[in-house]
Amino acid sequence: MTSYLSALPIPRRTTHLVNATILLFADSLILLPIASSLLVVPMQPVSTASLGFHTLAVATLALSAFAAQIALLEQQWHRLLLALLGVAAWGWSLVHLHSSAAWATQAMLFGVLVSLTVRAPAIPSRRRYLAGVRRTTTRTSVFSRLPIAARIQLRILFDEHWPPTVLRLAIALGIAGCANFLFGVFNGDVRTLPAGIIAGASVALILSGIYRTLAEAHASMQRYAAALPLAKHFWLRRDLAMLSVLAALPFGVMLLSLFDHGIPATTCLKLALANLGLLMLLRLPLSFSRRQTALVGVMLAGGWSAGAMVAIH
Amino acid sequence: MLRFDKLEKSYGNRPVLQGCSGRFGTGAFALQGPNGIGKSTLLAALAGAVPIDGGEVCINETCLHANPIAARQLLAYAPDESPVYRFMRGREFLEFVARARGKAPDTLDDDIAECFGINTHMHTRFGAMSLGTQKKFLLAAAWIGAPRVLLLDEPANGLDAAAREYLATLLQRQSEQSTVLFSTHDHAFIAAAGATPIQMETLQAKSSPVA
Repeated sequence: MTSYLSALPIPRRTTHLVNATILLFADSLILLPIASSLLVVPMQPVSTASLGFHTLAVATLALSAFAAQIALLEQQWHRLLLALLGVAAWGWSLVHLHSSAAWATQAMLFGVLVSLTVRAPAIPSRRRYLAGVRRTTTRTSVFSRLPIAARIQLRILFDEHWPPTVLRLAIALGIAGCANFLFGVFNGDVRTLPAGIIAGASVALILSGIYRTLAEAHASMQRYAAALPLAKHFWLRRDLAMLSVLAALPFGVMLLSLFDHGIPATTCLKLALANLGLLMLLRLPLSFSRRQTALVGVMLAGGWSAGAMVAIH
Repeated sequence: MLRFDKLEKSYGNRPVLQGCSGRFGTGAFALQGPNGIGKSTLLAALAGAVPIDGGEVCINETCLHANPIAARQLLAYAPDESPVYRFMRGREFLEFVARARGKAPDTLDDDIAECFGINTHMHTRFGAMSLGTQKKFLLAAAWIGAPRVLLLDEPANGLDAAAREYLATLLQRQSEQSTVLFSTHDHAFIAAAGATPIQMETLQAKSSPVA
């Protein structure tokens, strides 16, 4: 349908406007806390300059999230990268609060993000442009020796949907790295294990988005696969296994670091199993409520973290 | 060989199959009827590709509902349109079907691959194949594992003249040992395949024809 739509004389600006409008509605729940923060900030006893800076910072953050989402939706990867770099610059400006450089950064960011959000993409995305002329070379012998189901999953994740997959893996590794740093700061005190629990839940939550990518890809072939003598929940079981393999590195980094900082091996092992359990549990929202998977996932991860905190006390 | 009784299937409030019944032994049978009468739905339901609201499908007395894996081992299904992942290559698709049927990856008959002309497309992605080539792969996959029942939805659609002729010969040959049920609007193809025409309405009317 995408290629058919692109053949119709619909201006890119119109498509972009429709995408932006739908996103605004979809984001309404997330926009609530941002809107309330804009209401709360003026109530604080701060100077006008400080108030202006905070308002600008909140608006810029909301705009960068929106720009990143629309870039992802329209598969404009350079715009996504710009939005993410914007968040980094935003963080820097908060560290140098109230300086003229911080003001200039915030104002410039706001301008760039408005331009990114309002302007329709000028050229078709690379992915669509190359859709018909993709390479047909075979993979390495290692890849071809994997079971066919694993090869299909890897193609879905790293061939068809590589930008969100790589982004999720990078964020998960980033969280693991940050957690590692915190464990060093806490040096094995009472804050170490709760930090590990929260980091584990965050990694599981970030990686659980991969379930949707896999499930949506399998949906196209679901009817045909249903006519083949495949075991019940054939893809579900394989997707759970694939996610466990992908999560092994960030979970491994955190757990080894916890062990290094004096957390007993049995506790680390229990936490590893609990993390894997949560990762599998986060597949449930996709089976029961496709619309609110993110929200249900956050609630599940939150509940799991709270339960784990209670368990260690 | 293939028996189905009182099949019921609705899409929302629109009933498509209403007490659909039939029995088919060895041979080729061409399902006919106007567009939208439910031929594709019936073939998909018989294959287990779409869930049915009621009724029973049995292949060699193995019921699809009670024993789905064993029943699906006995049947092969080729839909009208390609449902295959766009990124999947021809060889990978055939390997996937062969593995699902518990066969070696290179189970496909060389003769079928050569006569359909798919050997040159083994490393091509489905998204980059023509409609006819996709169809040839789906048909070739249906012959993997020597199925006892073949369910083919508009098998001749999109095929070139040589492939159509070969398919008709293949269906005729297969019908000597299996039940081949396919839908088509093409009378010349039915004649070439030596198939018995079956009107969809006669199945819907609960007349349970025995062929």
